[in-house]
Amino acid sequence: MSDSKKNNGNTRTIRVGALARVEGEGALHLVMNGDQVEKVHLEIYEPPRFYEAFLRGRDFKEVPDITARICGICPVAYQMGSCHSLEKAMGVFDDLTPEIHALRDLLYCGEWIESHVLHMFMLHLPDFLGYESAISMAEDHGGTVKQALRIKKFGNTLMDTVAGRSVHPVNVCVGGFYKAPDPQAMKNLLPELEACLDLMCELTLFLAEHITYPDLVRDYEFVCLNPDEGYPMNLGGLISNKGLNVSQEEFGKAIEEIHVEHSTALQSIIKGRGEYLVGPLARLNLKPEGLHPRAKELLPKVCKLIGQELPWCNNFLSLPARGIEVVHALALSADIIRNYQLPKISRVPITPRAGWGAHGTEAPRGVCWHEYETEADGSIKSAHIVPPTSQNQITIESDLRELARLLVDVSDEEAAMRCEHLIRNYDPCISCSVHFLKFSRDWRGERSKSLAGASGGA
Amino acid sequence: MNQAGPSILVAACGNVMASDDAFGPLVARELRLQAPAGIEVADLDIRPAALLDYLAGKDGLILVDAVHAPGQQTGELMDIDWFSPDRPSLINDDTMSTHGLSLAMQLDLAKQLGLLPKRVRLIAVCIDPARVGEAASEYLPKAVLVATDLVIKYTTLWSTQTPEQQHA
Repeated sequence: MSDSKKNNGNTRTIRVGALARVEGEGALHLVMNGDQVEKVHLEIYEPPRFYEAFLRGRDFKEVPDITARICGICPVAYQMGSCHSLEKAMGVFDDLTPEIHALRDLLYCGEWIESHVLHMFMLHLPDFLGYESAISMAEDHGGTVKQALRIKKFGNTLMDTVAGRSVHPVNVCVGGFYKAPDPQAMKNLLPELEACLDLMCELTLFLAEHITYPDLVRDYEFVCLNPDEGYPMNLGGLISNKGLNVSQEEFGKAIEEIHVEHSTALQSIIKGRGEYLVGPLARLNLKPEGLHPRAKELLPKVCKLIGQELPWCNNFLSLPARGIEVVHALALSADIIRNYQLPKISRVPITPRAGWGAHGTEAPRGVCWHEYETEADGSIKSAHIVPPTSQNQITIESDLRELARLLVDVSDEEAAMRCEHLIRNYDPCISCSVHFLKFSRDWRGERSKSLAGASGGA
Repeated sequence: MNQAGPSILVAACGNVMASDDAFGPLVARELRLQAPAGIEVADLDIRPAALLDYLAGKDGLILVDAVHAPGQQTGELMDIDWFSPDRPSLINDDTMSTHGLSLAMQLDLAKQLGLLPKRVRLIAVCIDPARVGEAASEYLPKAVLVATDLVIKYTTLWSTQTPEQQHA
């Protein structure tokens, strides 16, 4: 739904209803001066949610269950960030067993599978195939949608099995898990898991072969975790393609959070350098060697089909990147489950103490970094959470600035649609970063060529 | 499960930490204590997008939710055929987000995919969306009990009558 009006002279405002298929509330405001983009504001006006404030004074054991409530789609990310940080604050991080680390990876795989598949096939794929929504897409691609739903369901089942529930899991605690999952229940997952893995490989190849990806190459600074082994998920320091190489503890000092007038979400920059990008494209570009062999085998086929070797510097390619990550998550899950035996302990004992800990993990949308200070009785003295969408916000605006330059010739309706498509590359969760989107574009100064008549209603 | 009868899903949505939005999960809790055989109770919590996961092979669906509908009184219990032209439009009927599709959009998608149950009923309480916190309104406990009885009534009826008999 759009609404355009001429303000005065060459200034024009176009408004489009709230952005669909993005979580939260906000607006996009473009100001054009002639053919040049003068201003791009991603105006996030979701009210602050004050999680960091009301965590203060709560017992450390409550934190994973409270932070999980920040988001219904990536609660595990908030649980993992808080657990690892608080384990550092309590001095038990190094006591965590390989079995606990493996179960955490398995739970996270469930969240990646569910979140990625939901976004890819229900929310993002319709953009690429030219449909208004998954509903209209299902008329022509019902089989694909059904296959995707099957995989998404498996992600939920996996989380249910490991952590009691798929929404806001209840089995996660600081130190590990309240109860280790039943080995037989885990083994029972394997047949469906293997079927979903085969399906996801086919679907990823389908995405690579049958979609023409818009071309918007940019010089991003990609940031992700840097584990010693494997693909970024729970462990490791943080690296970038432009020289960032810091420990988890140093990350908070390497970045700066800034407040801008047009957004209730804080924005993040790397100190002395500027914007950066977290998420699937960052992980895939920086750590492809960490992929599970099954995903690693698929990667060159996908690269060949889309005609682009890594690094992928076009965030429209986040769609196949997510596909490869789902294959990775499914294959890794199968390995963990095959090797799973009931562990001797499901969690390490903790004696509360005054301390400080910081740790980020890879939410589906990118690094989600937490920092806590505790009192001697284990209560929270301070809490600090840096979610992925707020880290990406300036980069989204820069992408939009670049895209807007290419859209001067198209109607406002078409421009709004293509901007929304771009924003969905980031699978933004504005309710996490505090929400999203109305669109307006102002024209100032002279417009050249045939632009004056390009916008409906102007 | 009653394998001989129709397969019925009761899907409850809501947030137990958001005051009256807890209506759906509270009805699900009651149903787990007294639900008749042959019905599956799913607490979808705040992620209604999971509804599609449960629809395969279902003959009937009862949605239990808290709603905000224009023109409805707060505390009013809504008991209506989902497909009835009299069903008021709900505030979030056309909502899509990264948290998924609204219930209405999921049922549209289910129809496209051939997964839509023949019978769909909405049992909902109209709430004030501005109310926050854990404490529920005075009307909620009674609404939960009445809704639970309604769900049991419909599941019993559906277990003995085909859609055609019901409409006859």
